[in-house]
Amino acid sequence: MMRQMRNILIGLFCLAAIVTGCQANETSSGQPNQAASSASSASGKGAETSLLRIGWQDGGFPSPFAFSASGPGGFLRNSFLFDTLTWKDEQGVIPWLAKSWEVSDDGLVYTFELEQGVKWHDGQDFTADDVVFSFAYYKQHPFMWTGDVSLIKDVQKIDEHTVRFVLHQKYAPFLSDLVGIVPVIPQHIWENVDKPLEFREPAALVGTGPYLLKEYDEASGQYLFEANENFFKGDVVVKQIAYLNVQNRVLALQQNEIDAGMVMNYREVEMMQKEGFDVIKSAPTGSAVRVTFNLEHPQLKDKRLRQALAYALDREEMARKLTGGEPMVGNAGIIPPDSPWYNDKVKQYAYDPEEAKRILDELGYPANAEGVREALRLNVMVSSTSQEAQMMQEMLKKVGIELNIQQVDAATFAAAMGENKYDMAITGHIGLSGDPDFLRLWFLGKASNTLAARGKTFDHPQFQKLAEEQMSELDPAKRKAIVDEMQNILADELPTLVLYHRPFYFLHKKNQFAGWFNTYGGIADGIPLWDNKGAFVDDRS
Amino acid sequence: MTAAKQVITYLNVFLFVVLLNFWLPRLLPGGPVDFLTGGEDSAVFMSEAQKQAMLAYYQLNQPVWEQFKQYLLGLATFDLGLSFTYKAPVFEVIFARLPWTVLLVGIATVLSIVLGLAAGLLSSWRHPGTTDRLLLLCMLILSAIPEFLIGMLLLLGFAVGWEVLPLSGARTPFFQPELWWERVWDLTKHALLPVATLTAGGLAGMYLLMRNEAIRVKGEPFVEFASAKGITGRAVLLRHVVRNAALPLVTMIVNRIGGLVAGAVLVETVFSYPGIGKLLQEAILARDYPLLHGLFLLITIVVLSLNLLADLLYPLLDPRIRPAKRGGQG
Repeated sequence: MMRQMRNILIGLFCLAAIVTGCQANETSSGQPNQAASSASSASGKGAETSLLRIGWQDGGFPSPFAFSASGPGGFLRNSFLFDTLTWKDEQGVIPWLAKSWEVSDDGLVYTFELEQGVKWHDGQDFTADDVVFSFAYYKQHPFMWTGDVSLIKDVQKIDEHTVRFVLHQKYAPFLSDLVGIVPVIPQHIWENVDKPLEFREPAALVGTGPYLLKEYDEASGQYLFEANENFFKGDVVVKQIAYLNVQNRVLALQQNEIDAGMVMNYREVEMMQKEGFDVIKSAPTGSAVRVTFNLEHPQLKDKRLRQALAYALDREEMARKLTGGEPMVGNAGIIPPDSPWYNDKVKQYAYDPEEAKRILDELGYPANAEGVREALRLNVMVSSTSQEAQMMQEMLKKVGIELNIQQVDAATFAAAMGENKYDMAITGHIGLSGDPDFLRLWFLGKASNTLAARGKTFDHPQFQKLAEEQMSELDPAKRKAIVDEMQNILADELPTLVLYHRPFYFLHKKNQFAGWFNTYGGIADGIPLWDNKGAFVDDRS
Repeated sequence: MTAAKQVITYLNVFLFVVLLNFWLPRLLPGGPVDFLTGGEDSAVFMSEAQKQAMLAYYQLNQPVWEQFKQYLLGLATFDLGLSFTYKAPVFEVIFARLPWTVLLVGIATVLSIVLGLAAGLLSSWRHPGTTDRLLLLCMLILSAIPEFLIGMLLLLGFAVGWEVLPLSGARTPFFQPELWWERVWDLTKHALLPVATLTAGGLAGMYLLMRNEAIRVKGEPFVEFASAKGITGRAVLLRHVVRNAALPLVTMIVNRIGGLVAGAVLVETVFSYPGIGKLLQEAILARDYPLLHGLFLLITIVVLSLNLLADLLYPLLDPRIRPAKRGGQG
């Protein structure tokens, strides 16, 4: 610390001298020094890439207890260092730290056979004890991403390389959304740590993962990962990965400050394609921009009003104007049309202003001479400048509804949602293409964040029953039928109206690294990004 | 004012600010809880148990008076606690970023003082005249442009259009130079635009004050007398005018430094410069109470110390208000 301070002070003096002394010469010697040349050999897995620089914002110190839960960056950075029993690739759940597993007939007992010869980054052996320890530790100190460890009754060690999980109840997404998310941590390090959040020694980053953290610049939020040469699953082909917290990813890509980055604006994608960048589109989309209705609002609690609003909004136009490419209108049943769990027979609300007017008249909101329904004035809350809200305002005006846009900052937004102090709110987020259990979490008050009205349950006994049922239904076909029915109820009741599903685009250069892929249902619990560590590993098996 | 009285004043201000520090962030609508549990655009489903554990950890589940007690206790023991967003001690979070702000604000202060005073002096020397009027016009225009706009224009010109300077940050990420001057050059490149913006923002105020003071002093009888003695114009300006115009300038300069810290918030945000200005902005958005306490406390101490410095310097510079004479100007 002191040495760093002194260096910076020395730097300061030199800088002052240079700036004041020879300002005229400042711009003469041109080209910026790159961190390292991002030269690379031929493309494809197996071929090595020396360095990839990816644009993403800070995700915090990447230990399992300190990373930031705002956005998926923290979880993904952590997943480079730590491994889970299972993981996902393009096809679905794959073995990771667990080589194979067996499920008992009653669906309550999972027996995992672990990989042998796995070493922690510090050279110690990974064993069944570490798995048992990890899940016991998380019961005391919750892992700050998803993964509900309270569903686990017991974890037993059978032998050095076999563990058995016993559950309280059947849990369909156990493999993907619990042991596929919660990382295994080394017992020999964490057994001595009683304040995991504050534990910031280098030992806090000792995992089994394909990368080691070489440097984390906390002030600017940038990471440099270096390949783990002893990774158990195969050769790590990208030797270094840097995550750079750039202000504008498109500009940074154009100026070769980063090699790859995600953007949402389709026009930017088209422009960058012309400049020679390659593009992957997230599939499935996994995201939604949607209107949440306050179901306790005196007027909005009537589902017919919500349906009238759905008819009054030209969501196709909205999707086309705001996303470009191939617009995907929001499914009234929430699950995106490109997800395997989508029910294509669900009730939809095509743009029909006449139908909207008819329902509004029927509900007793007559239009006056100017065509304004005076008894109906609604507010929509947004946390940033929202084109959706502006388009909604225009569209609702056509059926006589006056919409007032309330723009507040993110913390105020979240608080208003939590306290149910809003009429309607527009949110945009991911997490819709993973396991459909998210519908239960949202609407049964299990999710403690702004995706759902917190602490509020969707008061619909049949929906609640189905939501509990699908959770324990292990037969995929039967489970799909239940989830279909849940979507029917949601589409009819409209506790929330999805405006459109927003695709994400990943700009990169294929000739530098071509291993990128879309993860089945999104990484972990449905993150539709491309930084799946599996892409960087040349699997031996 | 006697020294004791002065000490009491400073203590009172400090105590008041310390109290304000605790309550002000809590008056903002919304709280940190929602940020901790993922904020709007994340896919986190934190279970109630996870949330409660987190609230307990940050003592946010305790009554506000209990939190206030903890805050005061923390202040007394120089322990401001953990930042909610960074999950690290507040002191560490701040001191990792402070050097960058000191670098920016330090250089910008020196530059804006030197350039502003020189230009002001030049202007007053040539007053009335074309040079003076031209300079005045330029400075008035400069002072009318907001800092963030200057920053964006510079960014568009030098980093986006011309591509000679980096877009953002304080240094090339993970750059390991072999020679020390490569490191200095790298830092310079990144600091150039933010420093230029901050300097431009502070320049006009300095210039205007120097010019006005110098023109006023120039009209005083002793300057006329000095000229009458046959001293050259330049010597009159440097020996007599500057020394007498220096008094209000000391106050102004000291206040300016405080202002530059505020300017740093905007400039660091525009250039993604990892200093405490950007940190403050993030802390406010995330309602990170402990971090806000730390930053406000730091800024309070800096501003109060600067004030104290001005108070101490004044009698040294002006014999008229040395101890014997109390009351009026102090």
